[in-house]
Amino acid sequence: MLEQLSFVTSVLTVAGIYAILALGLNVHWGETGLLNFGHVAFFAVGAYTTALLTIAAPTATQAYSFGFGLPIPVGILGGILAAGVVAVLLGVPTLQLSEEYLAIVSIGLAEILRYGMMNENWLTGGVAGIYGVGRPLRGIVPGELYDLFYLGLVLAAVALCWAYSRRLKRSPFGRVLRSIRDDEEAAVALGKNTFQYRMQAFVVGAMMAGLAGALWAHYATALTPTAFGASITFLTWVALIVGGSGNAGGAILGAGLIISFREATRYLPDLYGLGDIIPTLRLMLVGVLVVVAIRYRPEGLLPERNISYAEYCRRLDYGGD
Amino acid sequence: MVSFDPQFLVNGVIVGSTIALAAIGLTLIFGVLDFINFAHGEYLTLGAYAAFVANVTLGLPFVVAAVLAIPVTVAIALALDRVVFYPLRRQGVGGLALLITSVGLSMILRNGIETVWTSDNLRYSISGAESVSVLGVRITAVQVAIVVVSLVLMVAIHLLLTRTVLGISMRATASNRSLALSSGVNAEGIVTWTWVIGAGLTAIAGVLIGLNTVIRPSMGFGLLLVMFAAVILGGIGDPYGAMLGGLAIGIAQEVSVAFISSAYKPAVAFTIMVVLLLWKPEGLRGGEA
Repeated sequence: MLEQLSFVTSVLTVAGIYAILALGLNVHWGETGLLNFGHVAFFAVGAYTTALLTIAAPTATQAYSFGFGLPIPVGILGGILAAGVVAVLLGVPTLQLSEEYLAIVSIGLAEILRYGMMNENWLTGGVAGIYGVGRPLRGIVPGELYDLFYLGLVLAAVALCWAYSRRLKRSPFGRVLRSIRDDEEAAVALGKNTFQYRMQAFVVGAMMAGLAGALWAHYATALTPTAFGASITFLTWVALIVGGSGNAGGAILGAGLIISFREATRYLPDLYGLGDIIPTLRLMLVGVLVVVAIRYRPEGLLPERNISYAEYCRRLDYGGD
Repeated sequence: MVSFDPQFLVNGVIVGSTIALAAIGLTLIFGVLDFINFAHGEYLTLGAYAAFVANVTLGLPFVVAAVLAIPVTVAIALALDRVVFYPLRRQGVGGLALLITSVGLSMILRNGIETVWTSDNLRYSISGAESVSVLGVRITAVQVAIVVVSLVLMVAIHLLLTRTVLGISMRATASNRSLALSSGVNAEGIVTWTWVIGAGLTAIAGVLIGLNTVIRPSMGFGLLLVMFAAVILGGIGDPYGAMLGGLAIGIAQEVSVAFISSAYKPAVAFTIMVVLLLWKPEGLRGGEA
């Protein structure tokens, strides 16, 4: 019984981290129409930044040369901010151009960052990675309850991002983003500086991915470059498209479904002697899901719902229509 | 100052001419079908594996296998177009839906290939790998053949685009779709021919790259960034730009090895691409496709 509970707890924690990733991508693609195919880059930047900020200074045997021993909340904040800075750097050359350029440059950046993680031993520990990333309140929360405590932490972060996304649906800022997505010329004609709005949306979504990365670092406690492959980006896309892009609840639902699917198939290999091919078959199926979802249900399981002007007025108690 | 070694330049021409072939395919498909095909790298991989099966599994001579790889890859590309892209075109969804679909397709193909052939590095069975030294530069007979084949194909593409009705219709569709349609161009016919030429060139590029390095499932995906950089350098949709862009990126990558770690070769392509996007996003040739 306890074993099953701890399995469910770990699946939910990972699903929660993916839900934050999907909510970030929802701000990019769902709300603003930004084609970000390098989401894993922000995830990795968040994870490595908090790891380097919080671990103790390295001993002579370790490859990396930094480690500041700062408190974990400072590390997480640093991870979020670092992801935001990377988004600005990536946004400057791409966000003024048509959508495809961001797709190309972001997928490129994610790959280059991975080469960097593998080769810059002084910074990232190289292929061996970084071990012993601290876990928050480790000594204070009793050991048998720790995983539940961490799950609570992740779910609180999901709730925070979800609340922000809900707010985005109603705020003037969110309306401008959707107008850029649906008809940029109209937004420009209304005098909106669309580059600036796009940049803000891009940074906000990237910071969510940075938060997800930081939470992942303190959950996994070990970081290696192999954990930050392009498949994380694609899984997040599938989660968002299957769940419903433009709908925060859809992003969370999608992440839950995709991660449950992945974890459920993890124990298949031993059954039929398919051990070696299950990982690639699983990724093939992820690809099939993308193709099928775009063709037959592009709006996702929970389609986007924008409240009408009349509904908006009623909620604000204007009474006007 | 590091003394310059002409070996890097020769390597650059070899790599660059293969990238140029694949980049022409990518840019033609973008021009006519109006979406960026993220599965393009996998067509390159398919070409390399098709030739591998014919050459090693079936034991055919390498040249026969390389030629056979073209119709096999083209047939797969056409079948995928019919099943995956054509229904979306008919629904009239925009280029972004096609783009996302191609990302999914890329995952299916790459992981499908890995499921069948595993992630091991494979090689063709062929002789001619002994290098000879010409003016202090090491080069193999195979590498000379790679450059010659690429250049011949580029000239052939030039003749096709400028001297045939098909080529002119393709360029017309790429530059102004509705005007081309109203002038009597058969849109779906042009789409089919674009896949044939684009996938065919890319299959050859895959065989040549497999010949110069190794064959593995991620070879095409790993080159996607480089191909994009070549296409952007030349201006998206411009086949001549893609040729020049491919050569330029290949040479820049190989020459960079003299100055920085070879692990960062793709970073060179990426840096060139970002600088160009900031400075001249319409491409070096400036939209005169």
